[in-house]
Amino acid sequence: MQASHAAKAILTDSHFWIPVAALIFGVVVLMGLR
Amino acid sequence: MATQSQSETLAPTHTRSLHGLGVLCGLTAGVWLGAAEAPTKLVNSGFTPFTVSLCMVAGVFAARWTFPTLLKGTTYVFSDLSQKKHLIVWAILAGALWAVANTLTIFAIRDVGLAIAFPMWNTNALIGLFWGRVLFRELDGADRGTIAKVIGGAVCIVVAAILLGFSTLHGNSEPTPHHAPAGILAALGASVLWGTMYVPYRKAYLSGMNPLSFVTVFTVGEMLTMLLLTWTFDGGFHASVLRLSHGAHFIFWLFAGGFVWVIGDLLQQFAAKYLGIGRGIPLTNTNQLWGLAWGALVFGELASADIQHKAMVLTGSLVMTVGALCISTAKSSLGEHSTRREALERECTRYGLDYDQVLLAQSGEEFGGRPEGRRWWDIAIIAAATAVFVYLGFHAAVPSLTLNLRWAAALGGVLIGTLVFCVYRLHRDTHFS
Repeated sequence: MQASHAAKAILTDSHFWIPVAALIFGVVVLMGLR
Repeated sequence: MATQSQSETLAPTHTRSLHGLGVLCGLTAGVWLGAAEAPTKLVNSGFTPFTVSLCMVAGVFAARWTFPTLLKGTTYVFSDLSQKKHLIVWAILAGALWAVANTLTIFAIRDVGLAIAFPMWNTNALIGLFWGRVLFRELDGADRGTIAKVIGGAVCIVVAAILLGFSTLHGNSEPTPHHAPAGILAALGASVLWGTMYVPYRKAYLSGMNPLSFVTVFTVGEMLTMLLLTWTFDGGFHASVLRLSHGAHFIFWLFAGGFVWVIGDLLQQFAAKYLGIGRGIPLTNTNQLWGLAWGALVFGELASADIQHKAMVLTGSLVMTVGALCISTAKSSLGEHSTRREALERECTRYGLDYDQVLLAQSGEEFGGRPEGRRWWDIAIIAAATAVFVYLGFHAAVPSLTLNLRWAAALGGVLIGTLVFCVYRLHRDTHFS
């Protein structure tokens, strides 16, 4: 699978955004705790 | 059609043997993850938690590149990664989630204390179970008894881990919760992040990736994120990690902790691959029992415990054993195999994977005659990592702590014995696939 196709497959995978959202949430909380 | 019939032929025998192997990996992971805290108890360096954490992760980094190289060789690992390039992104994401969650626990302890924070972040196994159920349809098609065993077993292990955690807290040593809402948010955040970290795990193993390949990339995400966090939160150029030369004799113990943790983590990955996250992760959470055993028997941490704390230890140990037994005996049924196949087909369709190959790899079968030969740089990687540990070992200071050496030898024997047996079974049954 080409890199562009792989990137598209990842970005359109609904599963992908769950850990990304969790990571953003974690970083935001960390920033708030500083 | 041919693909499906092959899966149906493979499923019963392979899953039966892999369930037992997965349980063995999960329980052995618990033994090793529990022992990982022991070396860090020898450290009283005065460094910030970020520096301590970063040193452990550096030890983890060294060990995580060593084991896959030792067992399979980098040629194998990179061949595996090149066939499933998309999983590199997932592995780095998982490593970043781990590092942020670990940092959140530091703030949670600071703001609300371990007694409040620990039970909150320890529910991460239940979040993993939730994602396994919702995203990968784990337990779909299972009979009621199996579902009850898995969910009941996971809840038992989480409750027991909380009880055992409380049993190690004595007196009025907890900080006054000045920033309770922030601390609670940090603890819950750690739980959510660790629980969600299992999504990339499952994604990788559903696609047939070898756990050794996954952790090789995972550790890059973990190390980079930890470096970034230490830099940001620990004072940039003034970070205490940059003054480590003053405490070099402590670093060995942190590296050793990271080394032991890596072995446990690798076995946890194999458990997640063979059992799924719903069964595999709670089983590895039995590490709390072994951590307590090291603390109480070797370091005498329960010497002054009152009857209430001892009752907590006994109750927690019994409940955890019951939970582990429930999950260990909850084998997946043919109905579950069918829904797992559908989840696998989703991955193959989306990422252009070969269903047959993925199925074989997921079942612990080697495929494609992938090269396992060692190259000169494999030897260089192993030699460099060994040299780092030997160097730090020579400069390590033996702390003046009272240790029960008999119990240390006994628990060390359990560590080695379980690992040898588990490695033998992994080599025999799946050749570390």
